[in-house]
Amino acid sequence: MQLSNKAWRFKRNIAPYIFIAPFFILFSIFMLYPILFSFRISLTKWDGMGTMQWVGFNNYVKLLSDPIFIQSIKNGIIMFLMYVPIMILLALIFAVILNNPNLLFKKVFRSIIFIPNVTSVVAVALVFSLAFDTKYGFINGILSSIGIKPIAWVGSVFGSRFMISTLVLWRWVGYNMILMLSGLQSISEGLYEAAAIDGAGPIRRFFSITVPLMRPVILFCSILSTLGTFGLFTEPLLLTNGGPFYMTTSTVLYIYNESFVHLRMGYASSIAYVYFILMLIFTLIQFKISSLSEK
Amino acid sequence: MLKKSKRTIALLTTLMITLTGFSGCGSKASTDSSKPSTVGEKPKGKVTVWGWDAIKKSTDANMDAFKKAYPDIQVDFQTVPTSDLYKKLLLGISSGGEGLADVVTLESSHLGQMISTGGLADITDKTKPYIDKIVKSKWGDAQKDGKTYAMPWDIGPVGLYYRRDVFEKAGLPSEPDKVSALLKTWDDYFNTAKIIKDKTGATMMAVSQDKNDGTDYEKLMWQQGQLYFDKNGNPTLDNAESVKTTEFLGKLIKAGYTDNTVDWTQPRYDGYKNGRVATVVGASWYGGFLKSWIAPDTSGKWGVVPLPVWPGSKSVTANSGGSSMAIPSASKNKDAAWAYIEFMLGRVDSQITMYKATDTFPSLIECYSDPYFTEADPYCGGQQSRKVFADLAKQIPDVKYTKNYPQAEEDYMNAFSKYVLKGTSASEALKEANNSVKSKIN
Repeated sequence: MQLSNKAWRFKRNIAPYIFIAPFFILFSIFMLYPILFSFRISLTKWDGMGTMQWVGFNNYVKLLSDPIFIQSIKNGIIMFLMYVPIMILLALIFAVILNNPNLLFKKVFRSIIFIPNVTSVVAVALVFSLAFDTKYGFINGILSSIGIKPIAWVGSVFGSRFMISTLVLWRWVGYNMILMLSGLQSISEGLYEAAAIDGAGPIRRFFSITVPLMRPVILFCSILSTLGTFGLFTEPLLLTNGGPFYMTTSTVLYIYNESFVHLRMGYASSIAYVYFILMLIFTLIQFKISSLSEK
Repeated sequence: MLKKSKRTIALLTTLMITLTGFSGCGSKASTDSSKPSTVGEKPKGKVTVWGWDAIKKSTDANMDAFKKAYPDIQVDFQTVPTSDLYKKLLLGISSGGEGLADVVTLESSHLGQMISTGGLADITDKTKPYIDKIVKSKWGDAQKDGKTYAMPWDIGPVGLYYRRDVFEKAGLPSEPDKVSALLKTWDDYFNTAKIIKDKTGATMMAVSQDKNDGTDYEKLMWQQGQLYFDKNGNPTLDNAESVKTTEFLGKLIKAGYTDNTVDWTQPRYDGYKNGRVATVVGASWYGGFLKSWIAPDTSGKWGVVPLPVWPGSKSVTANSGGSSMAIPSASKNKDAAWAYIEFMLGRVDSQITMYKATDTFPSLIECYSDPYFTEADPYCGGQQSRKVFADLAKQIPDVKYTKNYPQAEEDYMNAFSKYVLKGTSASEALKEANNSVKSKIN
C-alpha cells in the first residue's frame, strides 16, 4: 500500500486520537453530560418528569441551613473516626504478618481476610441486622450470657453507628490489606536487616521503617475510606434506614432519599454538587497532612 | 503494516464488535409483536403488567378465565418488589415510556404521589360505571382534580386479631362476641394487657421501638378519621388526636405490654408463632399472611373482633394498605391494558377468586354478598371472620393518603423515634415533625 508522505504523516499524527476517541465519546455521553446536566437540575425545582421550575441558587442556600445535610456530614466524620484508623492499622499489621516469608498457608489467610469484600452487601447486612436485633439477636445473647445487659443496637445512636462501622470494617480490611501488601513489596529487605543489626526490635522496625515508607499507600487507603464512608449507602439503608433520627444517614443516602423517595431532584442535585466539593476539600486536607508529616 | 487480507479481517472484526456494542442500547424498542386493536374490535396485543409477588399469585388465579375471555391478549407479568416498582415507574415515565409496563399495580399509600407526576393515563370515563360499586374511601387517592387515574383493587379493613389460647390462659373469655365486649375501648385494652402480662407473660401488641415504620400510629389515626393531613392538605402531625395516639403507644411501651420487634422481620413472626404476642391490630390481608406463611401452624388459635373505640367515638375500623391498578400514559396498548384491569378488578367472580387465593379483600361492594364471606374460617377457630371484615369494610372512614404521604411518614417516624428513644415529649417531637413536613411540601 503506497501512501504519500503527507498522508502517512497525517494518519500517524491522528492515530492516537482515534484510538482514545471511543473512551472519550462514551465518557462525554454517559458521564460528562450527566455531570453538567446535574448542575442545571440543581438550579431548578423538578420532580424528574414534569417541567423544571427555575429557582437559581435557592437550593444551595437552603442546603446551608438544612439540619439533615449538616448531620450527614457530621455522621461521615464521626463514623470515619470510629473505624478507619483501626481498619488501616489492622490492614497494615495483617499485611506485615502475611509478608513474612516464613509464614505457612499465606494464601489461605489472605483469602480469608479478603473474602468479606466479595460477599453480597445485602445478604451480609441482613444477617448483621438479625444478629444485632435488640431482643432476639445472638450478639445480645452472648453479651447477656457474660452478664452484660442487652444493648439497643438499632435503637441507640452509638449502637447503630457501631453496627455499621463494624460491618464496613469487616468488609474492607481485606481490601486495604491487599493494597498494603503491594506497598510493602517496595520496601527493601536491606533496611530491615540494617535496623536489626543496629538493635531495633520488631515493633521499633514497624513504626520507624514500615509506617513512614508506607505513607503513600496509607494516604491512598485513607482517601478511599473517606469517600467510602460518606458514600455509604446499602449498609445504613438496610441496617438502620438512616436512623435513629438521621444519626446514621450518610450524604449519599440523603441524596437518594431526596431524589427517589421525595422526588426533589433539584435539591438532591445541589446536595450532590456540594458533596463533591466537600470530598475534594477533605481529600486535599489529607494530602496536606500527609506531606506535613513527612517533615 | 499488516498484509491487506489481515487488515480487512481486523477492520471487519472491529466493526462487528462496535455494532454489537451499540445494539446493546435501546434494545427495548418495540417488541410488541401485534398492533393495538382499533375501535370495535376485541382488544388484542401484548400487555406488560408490573406487580409484586403477592400480586402475581392473586392474578394468576384468574388467568385461565382471562385467556378464555381475551384469547388475543398476551399478558407478560413481571414481578417487581414494591420498593423497586416506584423507581421503575418513575424511570420509565421520565425516559418517555421506554421499557414501561402497560399496567402497574400501586399501593394506595403511594398512589397520590405517582398521580402527581402526571405519568398515569386519565381513565375517568372507563371507571365511571364503577364509582358507586366500590367502597367510597378508595376513590379519594385515585382521583385528582376531578379525574380518575387508577382502578381500585383491594382494601385493608383493620380489625383486632387475638389469640384465643393466650386469653384463655389468662382466665379471660375467648369467644369473639365476649372478647369484643371485653375490649370495648382502648382503656379496656390497656387494662386487659395488664391481666395478660401478669397471668401469662405475653405482651399485648408488637410495636417496634428501634425501627418503627409508623403503621401502628397510622391505623389508630385512620380509625379516628384522619391521617397526616387535613382537608386542605395542611399537615396535622401535632394536633390533639396525634399526640394522644402517640402517647397511647408510648404508654403501652412503658408499661411493658409491647413486643419490641421490627415489623417484617423473623423475630416479629416468631412472636406470632409462639404466642408471645396476644393481639394484632391488622388488616384482613395481614390475616392472610399470618395464615399462609407467617404462622400457619397456629391455625385455629385466632379470632378477630372490631377495634376498641376511642372516647366519644363509635369508629371501630380503619384502612391499612390496599392497592390499585393504573395505566401509564406512555402505554401503547391502553385498550388491552384496560381490558385486563377491568377483567381482574371489575368483575365480582374475579375479585372473589383472588380473595380466596390470597386474601386480597375486594373493594367491590357486591362481592360481600357472596356465600364465601359467611363460611367458617378454620384459621380463626371456625369464626365467620370474613363477614367481620365485610361489615367493617362498609364503615371505613373516608381518609386519603395524599401525594405528600412519603414525607409525612418519614417525619412521623423520626418524631416517634425521638419520643421513644430520646425521651422528647410527644407534643414537642410532633411539633418539630409537623414543621418539617410543612416546610418541605407544596
